[in-house]
Amino acid sequence: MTDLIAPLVLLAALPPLVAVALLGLALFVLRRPRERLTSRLTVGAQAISLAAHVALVIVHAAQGGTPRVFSFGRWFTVADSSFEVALLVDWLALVFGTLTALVAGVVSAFAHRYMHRERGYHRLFLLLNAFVGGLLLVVYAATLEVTFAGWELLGVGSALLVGFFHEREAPVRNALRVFVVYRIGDAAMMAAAILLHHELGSGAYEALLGGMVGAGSGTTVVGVLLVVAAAGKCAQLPFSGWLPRAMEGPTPSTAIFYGALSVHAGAYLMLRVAPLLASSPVAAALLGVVGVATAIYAAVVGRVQTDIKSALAYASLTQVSIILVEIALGLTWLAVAHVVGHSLLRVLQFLRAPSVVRDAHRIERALGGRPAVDQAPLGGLLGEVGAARLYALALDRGHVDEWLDAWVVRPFLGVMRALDRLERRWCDAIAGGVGPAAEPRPPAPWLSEPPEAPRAEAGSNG
Amino acid sequence: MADLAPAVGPGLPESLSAPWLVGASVVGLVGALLARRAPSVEAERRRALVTAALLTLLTSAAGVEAARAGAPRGDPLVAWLGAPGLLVVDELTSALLPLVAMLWLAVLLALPRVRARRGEASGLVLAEALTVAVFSTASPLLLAAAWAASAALLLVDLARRGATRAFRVAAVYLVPSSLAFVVGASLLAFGSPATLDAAVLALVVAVLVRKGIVPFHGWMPEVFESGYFGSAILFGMPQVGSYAAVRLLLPVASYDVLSAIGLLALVTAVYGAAQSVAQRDTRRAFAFLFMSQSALVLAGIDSTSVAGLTGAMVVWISSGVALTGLGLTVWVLEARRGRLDLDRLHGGHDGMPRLAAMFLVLGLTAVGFPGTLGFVGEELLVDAAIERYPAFGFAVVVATALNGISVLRMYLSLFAGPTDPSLVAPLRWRERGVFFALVGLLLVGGLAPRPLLVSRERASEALLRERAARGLEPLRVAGAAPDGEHAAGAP
Repeated sequence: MTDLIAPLVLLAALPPLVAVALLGLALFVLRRPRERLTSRLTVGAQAISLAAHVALVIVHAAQGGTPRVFSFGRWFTVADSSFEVALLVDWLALVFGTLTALVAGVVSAFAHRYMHRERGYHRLFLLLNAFVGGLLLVVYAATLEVTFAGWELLGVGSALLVGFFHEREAPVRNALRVFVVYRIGDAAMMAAAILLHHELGSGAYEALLGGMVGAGSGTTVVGVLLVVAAAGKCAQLPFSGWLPRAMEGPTPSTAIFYGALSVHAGAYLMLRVAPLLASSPVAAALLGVVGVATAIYAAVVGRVQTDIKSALAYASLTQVSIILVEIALGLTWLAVAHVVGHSLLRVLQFLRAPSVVRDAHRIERALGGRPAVDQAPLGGLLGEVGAARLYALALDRGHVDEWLDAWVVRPFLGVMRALDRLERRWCDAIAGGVGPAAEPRPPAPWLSEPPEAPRAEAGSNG
Repeated sequence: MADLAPAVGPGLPESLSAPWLVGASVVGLVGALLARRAPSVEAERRRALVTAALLTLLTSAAGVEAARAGAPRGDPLVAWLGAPGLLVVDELTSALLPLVAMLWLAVLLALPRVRARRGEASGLVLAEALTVAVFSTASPLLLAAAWAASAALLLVDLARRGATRAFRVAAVYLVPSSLAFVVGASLLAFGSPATLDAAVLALVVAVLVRKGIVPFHGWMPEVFESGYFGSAILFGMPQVGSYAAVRLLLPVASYDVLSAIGLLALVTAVYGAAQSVAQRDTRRAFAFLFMSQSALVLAGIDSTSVAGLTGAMVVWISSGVALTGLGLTVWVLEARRGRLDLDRLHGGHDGMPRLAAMFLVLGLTAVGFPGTLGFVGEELLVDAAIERYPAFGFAVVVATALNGISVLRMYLSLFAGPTDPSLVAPLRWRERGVFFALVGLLLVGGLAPRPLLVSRERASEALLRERAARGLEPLRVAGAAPDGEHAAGAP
C-alpha cells in the first residue's frame, strides 16, 4: 500500500504544472492555438488531479491516516547545500488539496464558457494552471523550500491574474501592488527558511512536528517572518489594500482564485507551522492581533461597499482574519472546517455575483416584499455624527493604502530618486556639463498614475 | 615569479584546446577586420554573424576538448607549453567561453536592422575577440592587455557615436581602472611578496570600478543610457571583472580583503535593486538591474566557500543569459518604438505575445524563479552569503525581492496597456529562435542542473584549494570564518 501513495501524490500535485509546461510550449510554437487544445489540457490535468485526490483520501484512510513524507530525490546538491524535493501527505494536506482541485475544476468549467472566443482565453488558462500548480505544491510541500517554490509560482500567477485585463490601467497598477506585497512575503519566507535551517538543521516540517523546536529567539524570528509572509497572502493589515482592488478587473472565476483560494494559502502555511507558533508566543500573539484588527477593519469597511464584488472581498477578508485568529489560538481543526466552509460559500457567491440583483428580486418576490433592515447596533452606539464619521472613514477604506503610500512607497522612491539625481549631477560635473541635465521632467508618480489626477484612490474602485 | 602567478599546475597532459583558442582569437580578429571592410552595412552584418558563429563553434570545441582531455580532477586541464597560464581552459571557463560566444551570436542575430550604422557589427566582433581572449588566459599580463583593450574599444565606440557625456563619464572611471589593473597585474607577474599588497589593492580597485560596485558605479547607468545598447550589454554581461577576481584576486587576496569586497558587493546588490525599481527610463532600470545581479556574483566569489563560489558561477551564467535576453527584448522594442518610459503602459502584448512571454520568463529567471537555473544559483548563493555575513547575508534576499518587482514593473510597462499599433510587429524567425534558445537553456538548466553544477563545483574546489595551498585559509565547503591564520601572501 505504501507504494501507492507516492505516485498518487505526484499525480495529485503535478498535473497542473505539467499542463503549464505543455501549454506554454504549444502556445509558443503554434501559430493559431485552438481553444479545444487548451481546455482539454486543462480539463485533463484537473481530472487526473482530482481523481488522484479521491484515491489518496481512500488509501490514506485505509493506512490509518498516519502522516507520510516522500522524498523524490535532490534537485541539486553542492557541498552540504542541497534542495530536497519532498512531499508530505496528511489529513491537512488532503483536505486543502481536494478543496483546491475541486474549486479549480468548477472555476475552469465556468471560465471555459465565460472566456469563449475572448482574446485572452489561452493566457487565462495558462495562468490558471500556474496558480493551481503553485497552490498544490504549497499544500503538499514537506519542507519550507518546496513551499517557497510553490509560493512564488502562486504569487506570479495571482499577480498576473489580477492584471489579466491588461488593456486598462487600473488592473495593471493593482497587479503591481499585489506583486509587491507578495514579494515582501516571499522575502520573509525565504529568510525564515534559511533561519529554520540554521536553527533545526533542516527546513522540513517533520522537524517541527518532532518537537525539536525550542522557545529561543531564533524560533520567534522565524515565526514572525512566517506570519509576515502569511499576512501578505491573506491581505492582513497593513497589506489589506490589494484584495478589494484586485476585484476590479477579472472575471468572477478568477476572483474566486484569490478571494477563496489564495487567501487561504497563508492560513495553510500557519497551520503547517503550528508547532512553531505554539512555542513562540510572540509570533502567535502577532498573528492574533493582526487577525483581530483586520477582522474589525474588514467588517466595518465591508458594510459600506456598494458593489457586490468589493462587498464579497471584504467579507472574505473578515472570515480569513477570523480563521487566522483561530489558528493563533491553537484551534486547528476549527480553522480547517472554517476554511472549507468559507471557500465553498465564497465560490458560490462569486459565481452568482453577476446575477446578484436578479437573485435579490427573486427573494423579494418569494418573501412578498423587501425584508426589513435592522438598525445596525453600532449606529446606535456612536450617534449620528460618530456614525457619519465612521462611514466616511470606511468609504475611504481606512486610508490604509494612502498611509502605505505616504509612509513607505513615496519615501522609498523619493530617497532613491534623490540619490539618482545626485548621481546625475555628479556625472554632469565629470562630463563638463555636457548632455542631458538632471531630470528634465517633474517628478511623476509611480507607474502611470496620471500626474494631474487628485489622490482619489479611496472607494473609487467598484 | 612562479609563486605569485596563478597556479595552473605543472606538467599537465597535453591536449588540443590551445589551438582552438588561438584559432578563436585569430578568427575573431580577422573576422572583425573583414567585416569592417565589407562593402555595405548588410554585408558587414553578415560577415560579423559568420565570425560569431565560427567563434561559437571554436570555443565550444575548446570546451569540449578540455573536458575530454580528462585531466586529474580539480586541476586546470590545459597549459600552453612554456608560459604557464598563457592559454588556459579549465573547468571555470569550459562553460564560460562558449557561453560568451553564444551571447555575442545572440545579440548579432537579434541586432535591430533599423538605424544600423557602419562599424557597429564589426566593432562588436572585435569586442568579442578581445573578450574571448580575456577568458582564454590566466596570465596577468595578457589579461591586463585584453582588459584595457576592451575598455578602450568601448570608449572609442562611445566617442564615435557622439555620446560625449557617456564617453567622458566612462573615461573618468574606466581609464584609471584599466591603468590600475595593468599596474596590479604587472606587480603580480614581476613583483615580490613585498609588493603583493599593492598589487592586490590595485587589482581590487580595478575590479570594483569595472563591475560597477558602489561607490564606483557611476559610469554604468550612463553608458547604458546613452551608449549603443548592444555594446553596453556585451561589455558588461560576460563579467570580465568577475573573471579577473576569480583568476587573479581569489588565489592571493587575504580573507579580510575578500570580506570587504563581499560587503561592498552586497551593498551594491541592494542599492542597484532599489534604484532599478525607482527608475523611469527602461535602460537605466536595466543597467541597475544588471549592476545588482553582477554584484551578487562578486559577493558569492568572495564568500570563499565551495557552495558560494559555485552559486556565484551559476548565477553568472543564468543572469548572463537571462539579462542578455532581457536587454535584447528592450532593444527590439526600442527599435520599433523609440525610448521607453516606465511610467507609461506601452501595450506591446497583443502585438507580440511571444516576446512578452519570453521577457517574463527571462526576467523571472534572472531573479531566481523556481524551476529556472536562476533559482538554483540563488539558493546556493543565499545560503553561502548568510554563512559568511550572518546578518548582512539577508541582503541577497532583499536584493532578489526588489529585482523581482523591477522585472515585473518593466514587463507590465512594456507589454500591458492599450494595444499599440506601432508595436504590432511579430518576431522574425531568427529573433524567435534566439529567444527560444535562451529560454530553453535556462529552463532545462533549471530543471536538470546537475551536470552544470558538478563541473562548477569542481572548478570552485580547485580554486579554493589553491587558496588553501597558499596558506590563506583551509578549504571549507561552507561555514564560519576560518580562525586565525591569514597569510598576507605566498607561503
